[in-house]
Amino acid sequence: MAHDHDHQTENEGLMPNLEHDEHAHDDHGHHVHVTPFMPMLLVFVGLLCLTALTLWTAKAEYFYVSNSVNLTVALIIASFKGLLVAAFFMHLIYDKAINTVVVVASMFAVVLFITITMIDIGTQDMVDKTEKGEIAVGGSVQIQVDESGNRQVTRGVYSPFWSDNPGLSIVEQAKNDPENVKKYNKSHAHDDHSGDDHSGGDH
Amino acid sequence: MTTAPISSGAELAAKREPHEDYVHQHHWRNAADEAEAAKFGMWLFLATEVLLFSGFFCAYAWGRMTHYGTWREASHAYLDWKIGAVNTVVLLLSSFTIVMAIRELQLARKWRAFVYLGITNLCAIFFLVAKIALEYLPKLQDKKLPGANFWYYNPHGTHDHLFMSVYWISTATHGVHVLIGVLVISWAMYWTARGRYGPKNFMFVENTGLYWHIVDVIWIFLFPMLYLV
Amino acid sequence: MGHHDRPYYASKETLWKTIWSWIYTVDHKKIGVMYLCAVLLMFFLGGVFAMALRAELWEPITNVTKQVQAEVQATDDAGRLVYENGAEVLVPVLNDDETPVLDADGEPKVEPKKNDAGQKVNAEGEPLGDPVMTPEVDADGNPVYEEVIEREGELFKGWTSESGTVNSNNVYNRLFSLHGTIMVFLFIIPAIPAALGNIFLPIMLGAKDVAFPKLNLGSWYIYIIGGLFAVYSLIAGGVETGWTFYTPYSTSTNWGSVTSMVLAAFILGFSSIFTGMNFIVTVHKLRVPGMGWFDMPLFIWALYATSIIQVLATPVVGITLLMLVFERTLGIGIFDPALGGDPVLYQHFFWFYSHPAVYIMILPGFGIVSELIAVHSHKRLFGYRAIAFSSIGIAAVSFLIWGHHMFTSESPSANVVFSALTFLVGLPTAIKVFNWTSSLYKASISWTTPMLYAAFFIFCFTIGGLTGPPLATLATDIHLHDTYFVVAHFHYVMMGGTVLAFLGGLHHWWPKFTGKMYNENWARLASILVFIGFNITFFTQFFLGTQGMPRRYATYVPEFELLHKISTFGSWVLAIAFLMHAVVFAFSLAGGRRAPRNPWGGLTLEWYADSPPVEHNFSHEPLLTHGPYDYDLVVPPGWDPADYPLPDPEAVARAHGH
Ligand code: HEM
Ligand SMILES: [Cu+2]
Repeated sequence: MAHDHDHQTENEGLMPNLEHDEHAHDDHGHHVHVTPFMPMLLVFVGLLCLTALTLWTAKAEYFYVSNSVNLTVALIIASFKGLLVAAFFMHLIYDKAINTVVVVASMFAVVLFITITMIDIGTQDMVDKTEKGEIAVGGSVQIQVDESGNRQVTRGVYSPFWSDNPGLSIVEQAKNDPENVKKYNKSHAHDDHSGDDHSGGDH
Repeated sequence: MTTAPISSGAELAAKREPHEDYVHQHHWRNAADEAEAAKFGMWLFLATEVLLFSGFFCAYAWGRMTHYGTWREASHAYLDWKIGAVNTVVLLLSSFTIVMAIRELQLARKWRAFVYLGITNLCAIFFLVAKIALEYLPKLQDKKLPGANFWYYNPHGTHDHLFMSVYWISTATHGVHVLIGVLVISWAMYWTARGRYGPKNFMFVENTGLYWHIVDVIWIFLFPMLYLV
Repeated sequence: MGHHDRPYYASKETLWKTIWSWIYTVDHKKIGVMYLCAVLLMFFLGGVFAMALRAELWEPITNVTKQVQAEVQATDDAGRLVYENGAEVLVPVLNDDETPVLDADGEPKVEPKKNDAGQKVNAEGEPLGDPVMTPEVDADGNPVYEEVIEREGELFKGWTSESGTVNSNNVYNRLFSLHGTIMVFLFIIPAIPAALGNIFLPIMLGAKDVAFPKLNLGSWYIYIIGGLFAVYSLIAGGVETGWTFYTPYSTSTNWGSVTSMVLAAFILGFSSIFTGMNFIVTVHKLRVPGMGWFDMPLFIWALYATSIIQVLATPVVGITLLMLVFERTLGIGIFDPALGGDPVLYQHFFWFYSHPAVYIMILPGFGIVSELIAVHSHKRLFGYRAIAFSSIGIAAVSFLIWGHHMFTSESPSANVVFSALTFLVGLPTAIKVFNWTSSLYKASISWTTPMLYAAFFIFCFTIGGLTGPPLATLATDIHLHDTYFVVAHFHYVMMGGTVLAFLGGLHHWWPKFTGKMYNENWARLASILVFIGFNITFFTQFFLGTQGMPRRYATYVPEFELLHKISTFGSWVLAIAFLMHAVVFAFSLAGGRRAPRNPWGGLTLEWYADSPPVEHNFSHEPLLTHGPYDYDLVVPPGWDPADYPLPDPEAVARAHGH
């Protein structure tokens, strides 16, 4: 039966052709949509062009607007590429709608997760001490290498170039609070819990 | 485009390929249901993959938002966009070839399908080798490592180590997915050669393709985020 | 084929073949039964921890020690300062001409004797060492003390372990962490979907199996691997982090085996995802011909909504826990403030899954209760579509409200949004409760054990649900957060909701999947005891919480003692009731009456199958002739029409008139 399908390769269009002879039959009468060649090749070429476009917009001097704008543009192009792959390479436009529903639902969840989390992170400075710069999201640390080559975590470093985080993290702030230091030392003396000598896990 | 299928040599034609006798599993009412269900299940799985990676995207967004300056400088200082770009093209090519492999199976030309799958697999291996040889190993040497292990002599910003954390965990997780892809595609190649897949039974290869495309799509996003910020 | 007339669990020729037929099975019923055994074992384990927790809280131990407030250096009778090696020796200060120096009063001036190095020495010329300190005294010569109050639990005082001496606080921390982790990840999440759902979802759809039987078996094995990791962590030192693994404690503590426990939860997530995927595809593709979406039993709707959450939320906790493992092994620092990371980010990651997860826990319970009420009150359910859609509605809304667990750590603007959205989830939930209660109106209720459980569920879940709004209200939550009020709230929904529904479902379907009846009277007694014990245990905790008793402490101030004692007493009643249930089931298995095909008069498809069902559920594909709750139109299969007068002849006429 393999030979019978050859004629199908001739009438390939860009859009899915729902004509009967675009489909191979099996013995149970169920339809197989044969992946067309030409549209897929075009999509592939399109993807290459979009990749080039991403690089161009990201790297060409005269295209530089601002860091954020350029990243946004890059991500928009990436979304287009993703859309092409999903729609054609992954057959979404030829398949049952339910598969698309799954994709949309998962995209919805991802967007929800990231946006709402970022809304919170972005508005953390509504808290008093953050406004004053005493607390910074995540705190401010720097890893420095001293003369003998030892790595050191220095905290609370203020540098005019990296001024985005002058404060301590909420936890650091709480730990430094004299009230808490007193309580903390009393009730938690048993658990080796001090962040200062932290070396990334329990080696 | 109308060349005769490679598998139609005289003695091969006489032999019946296993896929021609494919029967669906007993709990399905018909083969169409079975195939649609397999694909639907795969899409659900892909949704979980996307959500899995969303954790990295969220961590990235957090870092860029709270450690803005670092993020840009670290990317420029530690990552080479050219390697990323080459790997992007390689993955796109592999995505295209696996689509073609499925097409050939639908047209019962198993050796062509086999070759296309082979190209896909070579691309995947190229991606991994390039990643390890040109990126991971040099970075290991310079101690451009994630988080607490970051120990580079010439740090560019206060939070370089966090950028490197996001870089390592997201690309490494992606790399593991590529590796799994290599294994699955090899499996598909083996059984394609043995004649298991054909117009009546190509769901395994089709799902492998779907998996491979999602790996590609995730890279499409990781690339500008990590290399081009 | 012979297997079409033998029960699915019929033993094979040899014992080994029988065992093999279980470990290698792709039959959803056997997998469901294996899940059921595993899940019940975990419930027992978590229950033992719970009993220990309550025992610890029977009595607070308060140690009042006196601590010296201030110290002064001791002096001997002659007023000389005292040191380790004796009192100082005073020698006269000499002028250059060796005459003593006189002070203002004309007395010779003295100074402590010193050696060449300038150290004070005693008569023998040895250095004096450190000063001897004594308490400061008041005017009457009594030392001035400060009282230090230390509270500790009694039960585990002074236990030791490899990592050194632990005090009862440590043991308590581990116990509640293990209790929480086991109950959440190993018991309640898989309890209804993976055990009862696995057995009954395909049968209720008229299918031979789930869509992907091998994946189903895989999910069971993944569950077992995850369980082994958890048991390993338990033996290798336990965890003290609580089931939430909050950073930075979980990233910095060296205590116990946090990494392996986190990996256990990570692995268990995949078993949950695979069950969810399987159910969604099964519902879409394997409904018996003629069964539309609105002909599905409500249990299926609930499982479908649950599966959506399992598929869309669980991967996020997967990546969260994986990042936590990286955090502990590689020190990536994203959640670790010591490295510039953000613990609040971790909370977002964690609750994005874990809030929807509480609906993974409760939605299947809702589904079971809908079945129980319809079958045991022999009446068409009121508001079928409303109940079905509210399941989907809850699943959707559950993704929007995770921030209500973080009112004390997120920004005020996020607080407001999450608080408002949280109230939304009350709507679909209330729709369900109203529909169940209206279904009971004028119904002919048989008070079987499952029906009792359905009633208890409505009672307890309503209390649990109604205590949610005070927690969703910002102003009140600041007071109630991390108190026993929260503990009582989530036990009323998880235990009073899910566990009671699970037990109801277990009794409801027990005859079907075991083929044996249980002793109704003893089971009824046990269920009433569960209800009473549960309320004694947890209702008291609402009072404790509003009075300020914080959660996760091994001890408390004496004022709370009475309420804690009552609560602990309740936990004993509960334990006895659960043991009674176990005995009733054991007797049923050993010598229970053979179950008829349809003991309760249900109309859904599982009551058309044999008790117990054959290997592929039905000998012929069933023909769907009526809806799942058409009690006013059809006589239940296997029932004599004379025993089952159709309640409403008019309805029959109406239905046939169309
Ligand atoms: C047998 C009856 C039970 C008793 C007596 C009991 C008792 C307790 C106690 C004393 C705590 C610790 C409160 C604290 O100090 O924070 C607790 C916490 C908890 N329980 Fe239960 N429990 C029972 C059943 C259950 C069930 C059936 C579940 C879930 C299905 C459950 C889930 C939890 C959870 C999630 C926590 C919080 C753990 C944490 O905060 O780390 N419990 N329970
Ligand atoms: Cu919640």
